Amino acid sequence: MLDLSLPLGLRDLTPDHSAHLADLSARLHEVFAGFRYRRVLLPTLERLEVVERGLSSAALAQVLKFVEPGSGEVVAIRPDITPQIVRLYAARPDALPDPARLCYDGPVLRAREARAGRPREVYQAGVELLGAGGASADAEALVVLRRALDRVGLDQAVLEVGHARFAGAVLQAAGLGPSLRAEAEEALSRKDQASLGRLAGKARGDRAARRVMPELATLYGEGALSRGRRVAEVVPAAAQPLAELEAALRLAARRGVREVEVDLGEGRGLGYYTGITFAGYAAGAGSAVASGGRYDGLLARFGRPGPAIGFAVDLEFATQALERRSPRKARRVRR
Amino acid sequence: MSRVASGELLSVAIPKGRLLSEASALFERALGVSPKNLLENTRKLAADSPEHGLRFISIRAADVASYVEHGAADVGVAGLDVLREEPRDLYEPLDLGIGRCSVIVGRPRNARPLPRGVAPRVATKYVNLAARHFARKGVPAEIILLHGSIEVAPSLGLADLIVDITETGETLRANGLVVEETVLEVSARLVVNRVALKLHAERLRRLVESLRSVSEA
Repeated sequence: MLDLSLPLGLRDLTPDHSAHLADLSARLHEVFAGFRYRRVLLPTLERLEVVERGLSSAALAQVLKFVEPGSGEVVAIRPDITPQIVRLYAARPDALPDPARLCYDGPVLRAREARAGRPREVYQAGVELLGAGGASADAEALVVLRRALDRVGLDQAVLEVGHARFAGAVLQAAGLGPSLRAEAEEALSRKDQASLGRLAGKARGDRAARRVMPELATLYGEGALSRGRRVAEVVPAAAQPLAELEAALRLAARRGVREVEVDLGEGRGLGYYTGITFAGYAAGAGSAVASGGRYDGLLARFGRPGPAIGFAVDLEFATQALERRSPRKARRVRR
Repeated sequence: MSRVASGELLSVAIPKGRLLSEASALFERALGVSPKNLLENTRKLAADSPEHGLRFISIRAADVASYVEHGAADVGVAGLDVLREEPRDLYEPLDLGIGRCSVIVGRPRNARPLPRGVAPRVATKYVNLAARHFARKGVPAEIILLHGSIEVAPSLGLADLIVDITETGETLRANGLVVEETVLEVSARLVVNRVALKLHAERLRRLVESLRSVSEA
Protein backbone atom coordinates (compact mmCIF):
# COMPACT_ATOMS: atom_id res chain seq x y z
CA MET A 1 0.00 0.00 0.00
CA LEU A 2 1.15 3.53 -0.74
CA ASP A 3 2.62 5.17 2.36
CA LEU A 4 1.89 8.90 2.40
CA SER A 5 3.42 9.64 5.80
CA LEU A 6 6.29 12.11 6.27
CA PRO A 7 9.71 11.37 7.78
CA LEU A 8 9.66 11.54 11.58
CA GLY A 9 9.45 15.06 12.97
CA LEU A 10 8.42 16.73 9.71
CA ARG A 11 4.97 18.03 8.89
CA ASP A 12 2.95 19.98 6.36
CA LEU A 13 1.42 23.31 7.23
CA THR A 14 -2.20 23.57 6.14
CA PRO A 15 -3.48 26.70 4.31
CA ASP A 16 -4.76 28.54 7.41
CA HIS A 17 -1.62 27.90 9.43
CA SER A 18 0.62 28.68 6.45
CA ALA A 19 -1.22 31.97 5.97
CA HIS A 20 -0.62 32.86 9.63
CA LEU A 21 3.10 32.19 9.27
CA ALA A 22 3.42 34.07 5.99
CA ASP A 23 1.47 37.04 7.36
CA LEU A 24 3.61 37.08 10.49
CA SER A 25 6.82 37.00 8.49
CA ALA A 26 5.60 39.80 6.19
CA ARG A 27 4.82 42.07 9.14
CA LEU A 28 8.18 41.32 10.77
CA HIS A 29 9.93 42.26 7.53
CA GLU A 30 8.05 45.57 7.46
CA VAL A 31 9.60 46.39 10.82
CA PHE A 32 13.04 45.14 9.75
CA ALA A 33 12.84 47.27 6.59
CA GLY A 34 11.89 50.29 8.69
CA PHE A 35 15.24 49.95 10.46
CA ARG A 36 16.98 49.67 7.03
CA TYR A 37 17.60 45.93 7.14
CA ARG A 38 17.70 44.45 3.62
CA ARG A 39 16.45 40.99 2.84
CA VAL A 40 18.65 38.20 1.48
CA LEU A 41 17.60 34.79 0.19
CA LEU A 42 20.02 31.99 0.95
CA PRO A 43 20.22 28.32 -0.08
CA THR A 44 19.10 25.55 2.27
CA LEU A 45 22.28 23.52 1.63
CA GLU A 46 25.76 24.62 2.68
CA ARG A 47 29.12 22.92 2.71
CA LEU A 48 29.66 21.36 6.13
CA GLU A 49 32.85 23.41 6.50
CA VAL A 50 30.74 26.58 6.58
CA VAL A 51 28.11 25.21 8.95
CA GLU A 52 30.58 23.76 11.45
CA ARG A 53 32.49 27.02 11.84
CA GLY A 54 29.42 28.45 13.54
CA LEU A 55 28.58 25.63 15.90
CA SER A 56 29.68 23.99 19.11
CA SER A 57 30.44 20.29 18.77
CA ALA A 58 27.23 19.41 20.63
CA ALA A 59 25.18 21.46 18.18
CA LEU A 60 27.08 19.96 15.24
CA ALA A 61 25.85 16.50 16.20
CA GLN A 62 22.31 17.76 15.50
CA VAL A 63 23.08 18.69 11.88
CA LEU A 64 21.77 16.59 8.99
CA LYS A 65 24.78 15.96 6.75
CA PHE A 66 25.33 13.91 3.61
CA VAL A 67 27.83 13.34 0.81
CA GLU A 68 27.18 14.95 -2.59
CA PRO A 69 27.16 12.12 -5.14
CA GLY A 70 29.11 14.11 -7.75
CA SER A 71 31.92 15.76 -5.85
CA GLY A 72 32.14 13.63 -2.71
CA GLU A 73 31.87 16.84 -0.70
CA VAL A 74 30.04 16.77 2.65
CA VAL A 75 27.12 19.16 2.70
CA ALA A 76 24.60 19.98 5.41
CA ILE A 77 21.03 21.17 5.52
CA ARG A 78 21.29 24.42 7.45
CA PRO A 79 20.52 24.14 11.18
CA ASP A 80 20.89 27.90 11.60
CA ILE A 81 20.92 30.84 9.18
CA THR A 82 23.37 33.12 11.02
CA PRO A 83 26.55 31.32 9.84
CA GLN A 84 25.25 31.55 6.27
CA ILE A 85 24.79 35.30 6.61
CA VAL A 86 28.34 35.53 7.96
CA ARG A 87 29.63 33.48 5.02
CA LEU A 88 27.90 35.85 2.62
CA TYR A 89 29.25 38.90 4.47
CA ALA A 90 32.81 37.51 4.39
CA ALA A 91 32.59 36.48 0.73
CA ARG A 92 31.14 39.75 -0.58
CA PRO A 93 32.79 42.79 1.06
CA ASP A 94 32.22 44.61 -2.26
CA ALA A 95 28.43 44.27 -2.01
CA LEU A 96 28.16 44.50 1.77
CA PRO A 97 30.14 47.42 3.26
CA ASP A 98 30.16 47.95 7.05
CA PRO A 99 27.85 48.07 8.82
CA ALA A 100 25.72 45.53 6.95
CA ARG A 101 22.08 45.24 7.99
CA LEU A 102 20.58 42.03 6.62
CA CYS A 103 17.35 40.16 7.26
CA TYR A 104 16.04 36.79 6.15
CA ASP A 105 13.38 34.18 6.60
CA GLY A 106 13.21 30.48 5.92
CA PRO A 107 13.30 27.02 7.41
CA VAL A 108 16.14 25.45 9.38
CA LEU A 109 16.44 21.72 10.05
CA ARG A 110 17.74 19.53 12.84
CA ALA A 111 18.80 15.90 12.51
CA ARG A 112 16.63 14.79 15.42
CA GLU A 113 13.61 16.06 17.26
CA ALA A 114 14.63 18.28 20.18
CA ARG A 115 12.11 16.19 22.07
CA ALA A 116 9.19 13.97 21.20
CA GLY A 117 6.57 15.82 19.19
CA ARG A 118 8.65 18.93 18.48
CA PRO A 119 9.13 19.57 14.78
CA ARG A 120 12.63 19.17 13.38
CA GLU A 121 12.03 21.83 10.77
CA VAL A 122 11.53 25.33 12.13
CA TYR A 123 10.65 28.53 10.24
CA GLN A 124 12.54 31.63 11.30
CA ALA A 125 12.67 35.31 10.39
CA GLY A 126 15.58 37.30 11.69
CA VAL A 127 18.07 40.15 11.36
CA GLU A 128 21.85 40.40 11.56
CA LEU A 129 23.82 43.62 12.09
CA LEU A 130 27.39 42.92 10.96
CA GLY A 131 30.45 45.12 11.39
CA ALA A 132 28.88 47.16 14.21
CA GLY A 133 29.69 46.61 17.86
CA GLY A 134 29.26 48.14 21.28
CA ALA A 135 26.27 49.32 23.25
CA SER A 136 24.70 51.20 20.37
CA ALA A 137 24.41 48.11 18.16
CA ASP A 138 23.29 46.03 21.17
CA ALA A 139 20.53 48.54 21.91
CA GLU A 140 19.52 48.61 18.24
CA ALA A 141 18.97 44.84 18.27
CA LEU A 142 16.82 45.10 21.41
CA VAL A 143 14.79 47.96 19.95
CA VAL A 144 14.20 46.18 16.63
CA LEU A 145 13.05 43.02 18.43
CA ARG A 146 10.71 44.93 20.76
CA ARG A 147 9.18 46.87 17.84
CA ALA A 148 8.83 43.66 15.84
CA LEU A 149 7.06 41.83 18.67
CA ASP A 150 4.76 44.82 19.28
CA ARG A 151 3.97 45.13 15.57
CA VAL A 152 2.85 41.50 15.16
CA GLY A 153 0.59 41.61 18.22
CA LEU A 154 2.98 40.12 20.76
CA ASP A 155 3.04 43.35 22.77
CA GLN A 156 2.50 41.23 25.91
CA ALA A 157 5.71 39.30 25.27
CA VAL A 158 8.48 39.60 27.86
CA LEU A 159 11.91 40.67 26.59
CA GLU A 160 14.75 39.18 28.64
CA VAL A 161 18.45 39.98 28.45
CA GLY A 162 21.55 38.22 29.77
CA HIS A 163 25.24 37.99 28.86
CA ALA A 164 27.10 35.04 27.38
CA ARG A 165 30.27 35.64 29.45
CA PHE A 166 28.90 36.52 32.89
CA ALA A 167 28.28 33.03 34.31
CA GLY A 168 31.32 31.71 32.44
CA ALA A 169 33.54 34.26 34.22
CA VAL A 170 32.33 33.03 37.61
CA LEU A 171 32.77 29.33 36.70
CA GLN A 172 36.23 30.12 35.33
CA ALA A 173 37.29 31.94 38.51
CA ALA A 174 35.91 29.11 40.65
CA GLY A 175 38.49 26.86 38.99
CA LEU A 176 36.53 23.84 37.73
CA GLY A 177 38.23 21.21 35.61
CA PRO A 178 36.73 20.48 32.17
CA SER A 179 34.35 17.72 33.26
CA LEU A 180 33.16 19.57 36.40
CA ARG A 181 32.78 22.69 34.26
CA ALA A 182 30.50 20.81 31.85
CA GLU A 183 28.49 19.48 34.81
CA ALA A 184 28.20 23.00 36.22
CA GLU A 185 26.95 24.41 32.91
CA GLU A 186 24.41 21.62 32.71
CA ALA A 187 23.27 22.30 36.30
CA LEU A 188 23.05 26.03 35.59
CA SER A 189 20.90 25.40 32.52
CA ARG A 190 18.42 23.72 34.91
CA LYS A 191 18.90 26.46 37.55
CA ASP A 192 19.86 23.62 39.88
CA GLN A 193 21.33 25.62 42.75
CA ALA A 194 22.04 22.60 44.97
CA SER A 195 24.16 20.88 42.32
CA LEU A 196 26.08 24.11 41.68
CA GLY A 197 26.81 24.25 45.42
CA ARG A 198 28.02 20.65 45.42
CA LEU A 199 30.27 21.33 42.39
CA ALA A 200 31.61 24.53 43.96
CA GLY A 201 32.72 22.37 46.89
CA LYS A 202 34.89 20.30 44.52
CA ALA A 203 36.38 23.33 42.73
CA ARG A 204 39.93 24.45 43.45
CA GLY A 205 39.85 28.13 42.43
CA ASP A 206 39.14 31.45 44.07
CA ARG A 207 37.26 31.07 47.35
CA ALA A 208 34.89 34.02 46.79
CA ALA A 209 34.01 32.78 43.29
CA ARG A 210 33.21 29.34 44.69
CA ARG A 211 31.00 30.91 47.35
CA VAL A 212 28.89 32.92 44.85
CA MET A 213 28.76 30.18 42.19
CA PRO A 214 25.40 28.70 43.34
CA GLU A 215 23.81 32.17 43.18
CA LEU A 216 24.13 32.07 39.38
CA ALA A 217 20.94 29.99 39.42
CA THR A 218 18.99 32.80 41.10
CA LEU A 219 20.02 35.93 39.15
CA TYR A 220 16.58 36.60 37.66
CA GLY A 221 13.46 38.46 38.76
CA GLU A 222 13.41 41.80 40.58
CA GLY A 223 16.81 43.17 41.53
CA ALA A 224 18.67 40.69 39.30
CA LEU A 225 21.06 43.41 38.16
CA SER A 226 21.95 44.60 41.64
CA ARG A 227 22.41 41.03 42.83
CA GLY A 228 24.59 40.50 39.73
CA ARG A 229 26.66 43.54 40.71
CA ARG A 230 27.38 41.97 44.09
CA VAL A 231 28.65 38.86 42.29
CA ALA A 232 30.84 41.03 40.05
CA GLU A 233 32.32 42.72 43.13
CA VAL A 234 33.90 39.45 44.22
CA VAL A 235 34.58 38.08 40.71
CA PRO A 236 36.27 40.95 38.85
CA ALA A 237 36.15 39.12 35.50
CA ALA A 238 32.34 39.27 35.61
CA ALA A 239 32.32 43.07 35.86
CA GLN A 240 33.05 43.72 32.17
CA PRO A 241 30.18 41.54 30.85
CA LEU A 242 27.84 43.16 33.36
CA ALA A 243 28.97 46.66 32.29
CA GLU A 244 28.27 45.77 28.63
CA LEU A 245 24.79 44.56 29.55
CA GLU A 246 23.99 47.64 31.60
CA ALA A 247 25.24 49.97 28.85
CA ALA A 248 22.97 48.23 26.33
CA LEU A 249 19.98 48.48 28.69
CA ARG A 250 20.60 52.20 29.33
CA LEU A 251 20.72 52.99 25.61
CA ALA A 252 17.70 50.81 24.82
CA ALA A 253 15.76 52.60 27.58
CA ARG A 254 16.70 55.96 26.04
CA ARG A 255 15.29 54.67 22.75
CA GLY A 256 12.02 53.72 24.40
CA VAL A 257 12.55 50.07 25.43
CA ARG A 258 12.32 50.19 29.22
CA GLU A 259 10.55 47.00 30.23
CA VAL A 260 13.32 44.45 30.07
CA GLU A 261 13.82 41.46 32.36
CA VAL A 262 17.30 40.27 33.26
CA ASP A 263 18.56 36.72 33.80
CA LEU A 264 22.32 36.45 34.28
CA GLY A 265 22.23 32.66 34.53
CA GLU A 266 20.67 31.85 31.18
CA GLY A 267 22.79 30.27 28.45
CA ARG A 268 21.50 30.60 24.91
CA GLY A 269 22.22 29.72 21.35
CA LEU A 270 24.35 27.23 19.49
CA GLY A 271 27.68 28.14 21.03
CA TYR A 272 28.91 31.31 19.28
CA TYR A 273 27.60 34.12 21.48
CA THR A 274 30.19 36.40 23.10
CA GLY A 275 28.21 39.36 24.43
CA ILE A 276 24.65 40.21 25.41
CA THR A 277 22.07 37.55 24.68
CA PHE A 278 18.32 38.06 24.68
CA ALA A 279 15.00 36.37 24.03
CA GLY A 280 11.28 37.07 23.84
CA TYR A 281 8.74 34.95 25.72
CA ALA A 282 4.97 34.91 25.26
CA ALA A 283 2.15 33.04 26.95
CA GLY A 284 0.82 30.13 24.90
CA ALA A 285 4.13 29.37 23.15
CA GLY A 286 6.04 26.26 24.22
CA SER A 287 9.39 27.99 23.99
CA ALA A 288 10.97 31.39 23.32
CA VAL A 289 9.30 33.25 20.42
CA ALA A 290 12.61 34.92 19.55
CA SER A 291 16.22 34.73 20.62
CA GLY A 292 19.56 36.20 19.70
CA GLY A 293 22.80 37.72 20.86
CA ARG A 294 26.18 39.21 20.08
CA TYR A 295 28.72 36.97 18.34
CA ASP A 296 31.93 38.94 17.88
CA GLY A 297 34.13 35.88 17.39
CA LEU A 298 32.30 34.28 14.49
CA LEU A 299 33.18 36.74 11.70
CA ALA A 300 36.93 36.21 12.14
CA ARG A 301 36.42 32.47 11.65
CA PHE A 302 35.14 33.33 8.15
CA GLY A 303 38.05 35.67 7.38
CA ARG A 304 36.40 39.08 7.75
CA PRO A 305 36.82 39.93 11.45
CA GLY A 306 34.40 42.28 13.13
CA PRO A 307 31.61 42.53 15.67
CA ALA A 308 28.06 41.34 14.96
CA ILE A 309 24.69 40.88 16.62
CA GLY A 310 21.37 39.43 15.53
CA PHE A 311 18.24 37.54 16.45
CA ALA A 312 15.66 35.23 14.93
CA VAL A 313 11.94 35.07 15.56
CA ASP A 314 10.63 31.49 15.67
CA LEU A 315 7.58 31.81 13.42
CA GLU A 316 5.98 28.63 14.74
CA PHE A 317 6.18 29.55 18.44
CA ALA A 318 5.17 33.14 17.69
CA THR A 319 2.14 31.84 15.77
CA GLN A 320 1.28 29.51 18.67
CA ALA A 321 1.28 32.49 21.01
CA LEU A 322 -0.84 34.59 18.62
CA GLU A 323 -3.36 31.80 17.97
CA ARG A 324 -3.83 31.25 21.71
CA ARG A 325 -4.27 34.88 22.73
CA SER A 326 -7.55 35.68 24.43
CA PRO A 327 -10.12 36.79 21.80
CA ARG A 328 -10.52 40.24 23.35
CA LYS A 329 -6.81 41.03 23.07
CA ALA A 330 -6.70 39.54 19.57
CA ARG A 331 -9.46 41.90 18.38
CA ARG A 332 -7.75 44.91 19.85
CA VAL A 333 -4.57 44.48 17.81
CA ARG A 334 -6.09 43.04 14.64
CA ARG A 335 -5.45 45.33 11.71
CA MET B 1 8.48 45.43 35.24
CA SER B 2 6.66 42.51 33.66
CA ARG B 3 4.05 43.04 31.00
CA VAL B 4 2.16 39.98 32.19
CA ALA B 5 -0.84 40.48 34.42
CA SER B 6 0.04 39.47 37.97
CA GLY B 7 -3.55 38.51 38.74
CA GLU B 8 -3.61 35.12 37.09
CA LEU B 9 -3.06 32.03 39.25
CA LEU B 10 0.11 30.02 38.89
CA SER B 11 -0.69 26.33 38.71
CA VAL B 12 1.21 23.82 40.83
CA ALA B 13 1.12 20.10 39.98
CA ILE B 14 1.06 18.10 43.22
CA PRO B 15 1.73 14.36 42.86
CA LYS B 16 -0.78 11.85 44.14
CA GLY B 17 0.37 9.01 46.36
CA ARG B 18 3.61 8.64 48.27
CA LEU B 19 4.79 12.26 47.88
CA LEU B 20 1.48 14.01 48.55
CA SER B 21 1.74 14.39 52.33
CA GLU B 22 5.38 15.42 52.43
CA ALA B 23 5.03 17.86 49.51
CA SER B 24 1.93 19.30 51.12
CA ALA B 25 3.71 19.80 54.42
CA LEU B 26 6.45 21.80 52.66
CA PHE B 27 3.90 24.14 51.09
CA GLU B 28 2.17 24.49 54.41
CA ARG B 29 5.38 25.48 56.20
CA ALA B 30 6.48 27.81 53.39
CA LEU B 31 3.19 29.54 52.58
CA GLY B 32 0.68 28.45 55.20
CA VAL B 33 -1.48 26.60 52.69
CA SER B 34 -1.90 22.83 52.50
CA PRO B 35 -2.58 21.55 48.97
CA LYS B 36 -3.56 18.19 50.46
CA ASN B 37 -6.34 19.70 52.58
CA LEU B 38 -7.50 21.94 49.73
CA LEU B 39 -7.63 19.04 47.28
CA GLU B 40 -9.33 16.68 49.75
CA ASN B 41 -12.06 19.21 50.37
CA THR B 42 -13.08 19.36 46.75
CA ARG B 43 -14.18 16.68 44.32
CA LYS B 44 -12.49 18.53 41.49
CA LEU B 45 -8.96 17.88 40.26
CA ALA B 46 -7.98 21.48 40.98
CA ALA B 47 -8.20 23.67 44.07
CA ASP B 48 -7.48 27.41 44.13
CA SER B 49 -5.77 29.44 46.77
CA PRO B 50 -6.35 32.99 45.48
CA GLU B 51 -4.65 34.66 48.45
CA HIS B 52 -1.40 32.92 47.45
CA GLY B 53 -2.01 33.30 43.72
CA LEU B 54 -1.81 29.53 43.30
CA ARG B 55 -3.96 26.77 41.85
CA PHE B 56 -3.07 23.24 42.95
CA ILE B 57 -3.78 20.38 40.60
CA SER B 58 -3.61 16.73 41.54
CA ILE B 59 -1.58 14.66 39.05
CA ARG B 60 -0.16 11.14 38.95
CA ALA B 61 3.46 11.36 40.13
CA ALA B 62 4.86 9.93 36.90
CA ASP B 63 2.98 12.54 34.84
CA VAL B 64 3.92 15.70 36.74
CA ALA B 65 7.02 16.34 34.60
CA SER B 66 4.95 16.10 31.39
CA TYR B 67 2.32 18.51 32.69
CA VAL B 68 4.95 21.06 33.64
CA GLU B 69 7.10 20.63 30.54
CA HIS B 70 4.12 21.28 28.29
CA GLY B 71 2.86 24.20 30.34
CA ALA B 72 -0.37 22.62 31.65
CA ALA B 73 1.14 23.40 35.05
CA ASP B 74 3.71 26.13 35.78
CA VAL B 75 5.36 24.35 38.70
CA GLY B 76 5.42 20.77 39.97
CA VAL B 77 6.95 18.27 42.36
CA ALA B 78 8.66 15.35 40.61
CA GLY B 79 11.04 12.54 41.60
CA LEU B 80 14.58 12.63 40.23
CA ASP B 81 14.07 9.06 38.94
CA VAL B 82 11.34 10.29 36.58
CA LEU B 83 13.37 13.33 35.52
CA ARG B 84 16.51 11.33 34.69
CA GLU B 85 14.74 8.35 33.09
CA GLU B 86 13.27 10.60 30.43
CA PRO B 87 15.16 13.91 30.25
CA ARG B 88 12.88 16.93 30.26
CA ASP B 89 13.28 20.50 29.20
CA LEU B 90 12.58 21.99 32.64
CA TYR B 91 14.13 24.10 35.33
CA GLU B 92 14.91 22.13 38.50
CA PRO B 93 15.71 24.93 40.93
CA LEU B 94 15.25 23.06 44.18
CA ASP B 95 15.98 19.70 45.78
CA LEU B 96 13.01 19.40 48.14
CA GLY B 97 14.74 16.68 50.17
CA ILE B 98 11.55 14.62 50.40
CA GLY B 99 10.65 11.23 48.91
CA ARG B 100 14.19 9.97 49.41
CA CYS B 101 14.88 6.55 47.90
CA SER B 102 17.34 4.88 45.53
CA VAL B 103 17.32 3.30 42.11
CA ILE B 104 19.42 0.17 42.62
CA VAL B 105 20.68 -2.94 40.87
CA GLY B 106 19.33 -5.99 42.71
CA ARG B 107 20.27 -9.64 42.31
CA PRO B 108 19.07 -12.92 43.90
CA ARG B 109 20.89 -13.49 47.19
CA ASN B 110 22.10 -16.97 46.31
CA ALA B 111 22.58 -16.62 42.57
CA ARG B 112 25.80 -17.97 41.12
CA PRO B 113 27.76 -15.33 39.19
CA LEU B 114 27.14 -15.40 35.45
CA PRO B 115 29.87 -17.03 33.36
CA ARG B 116 32.30 -14.45 32.06
CA GLY B 117 31.17 -12.67 28.88
CA VAL B 118 27.50 -13.55 29.30
CA ALA B 119 25.30 -10.48 28.96
CA PRO B 120 23.01 -10.20 32.00
CA ARG B 121 19.30 -9.88 31.43
CA VAL B 122 17.95 -6.94 33.42
CA ALA B 123 14.27 -6.42 34.22
CA THR B 124 13.23 -2.83 34.96
CA LYS B 125 10.75 -0.07 34.35
CA TYR B 126 13.73 2.34 34.08
CA VAL B 127 14.98 1.21 30.68
CA ASN B 128 17.03 4.35 30.00
CA LEU B 129 18.61 4.61 33.45
CA ALA B 130 19.44 0.89 33.34
CA ALA B 131 20.86 1.01 29.80
CA ARG B 132 23.03 4.05 30.66
CA HIS B 133 24.24 2.45 33.89
CA PHE B 134 25.41 -0.78 32.25
CA ALA B 135 26.80 1.05 29.20
CA ARG B 136 28.95 3.21 31.50
CA LYS B 137 30.35 0.05 33.08
CA GLY B 138 30.95 -1.50 29.67
CA VAL B 139 28.58 -4.38 30.47
CA PRO B 140 26.49 -5.50 27.48
CA ALA B 141 23.17 -5.93 29.28
CA GLU B 142 19.88 -6.98 27.75
CA ILE B 143 17.22 -4.64 29.14
CA ILE B 144 13.67 -5.99 29.57
CA LEU B 145 10.86 -3.49 30.14
CA LEU B 146 8.31 -4.44 32.82
CA HIS B 147 5.51 -2.30 34.18
CA GLY B 148 5.29 -3.73 37.69
CA SER B 149 6.33 -6.52 40.08
CA ILE B 150 9.91 -6.11 38.90
CA GLU B 151 11.23 -7.88 42.00
CA VAL B 152 9.71 -11.26 41.05
CA ALA B 153 11.37 -11.34 37.61
CA PRO B 154 14.56 -13.18 38.76
CA SER B 155 12.70 -15.89 40.66
CA LEU B 156 10.45 -16.52 37.64
CA GLY B 157 13.49 -16.91 35.42
CA LEU B 158 12.89 -13.77 33.34
CA ALA B 159 15.99 -11.87 34.37
CA ASP B 160 19.34 -12.21 36.15
CA LEU B 161 19.20 -8.72 37.66
CA ILE B 162 16.68 -5.98 38.27
CA VAL B 163 16.96 -2.20 38.31
CA ASP B 164 14.26 -0.83 40.57
CA ILE B 165 13.44 1.85 43.09
CA THR B 166 13.59 1.09 46.80
CA GLU B 167 13.12 3.10 49.96
CA THR B 168 13.95 0.61 52.70
CA GLY B 169 14.93 -2.50 50.76
CA GLU B 170 12.14 -4.48 52.43
CA THR B 171 10.41 -5.64 49.25
CA LEU B 172 13.77 -6.70 47.86
CA ARG B 173 14.59 -8.77 50.94
CA ALA B 174 11.14 -10.36 50.94
CA ASN B 175 11.83 -11.54 47.38
CA GLY B 176 15.27 -12.92 48.17
CA LEU B 177 17.16 -10.06 46.50
CA VAL B 178 20.15 -8.03 47.66
CA VAL B 179 21.32 -4.61 46.51
CA GLU B 180 24.37 -4.95 44.28
CA GLU B 181 24.91 -1.25 43.57
CA THR B 182 23.19 2.11 43.50
CA VAL B 183 22.30 3.66 40.14
CA LEU B 184 20.81 6.96 41.37
CA GLU B 185 20.05 8.58 44.73
CA VAL B 186 16.55 9.98 44.38
CA SER B 187 14.69 12.84 46.03
CA ALA B 188 11.84 15.02 44.85
CA ARG B 189 12.64 18.21 42.92
CA LEU B 190 10.68 21.35 42.37
CA VAL B 191 10.34 21.68 38.60
CA VAL B 192 9.35 24.85 36.75
CA ASN B 193 8.17 25.34 33.17
CA ARG B 194 10.80 27.21 31.15
CA VAL B 195 8.47 29.83 29.67
CA ALA B 196 6.52 30.31 32.92
CA LEU B 197 9.72 31.26 34.75
CA LYS B 198 10.27 34.00 32.18
CA LEU B 199 6.70 35.31 32.22
CA HIS B 200 6.38 35.29 36.02
CA ALA B 201 10.02 35.63 37.01
CA GLU B 202 9.65 37.44 40.32
CA ARG B 203 6.63 35.50 41.58
CA LEU B 204 8.31 32.18 40.83
CA ARG B 205 11.65 33.31 42.28
CA ARG B 206 9.85 34.14 45.54
CA LEU B 207 8.00 30.81 45.53
CA VAL B 208 11.29 28.94 45.02
CA GLU B 209 12.97 30.94 47.79
CA SER B 210 10.19 30.38 50.30
CA LEU B 211 10.19 26.63 49.61
CA ARG B 212 13.98 26.63 49.81
CA SER B 213 13.87 28.20 53.27
CA VAL B 214 11.78 25.32 54.65
CA SER B 215 13.27 22.41 52.71
CA GLU B 216 16.94 22.90 53.54
CA ALA B 217 17.82 19.87 55.60
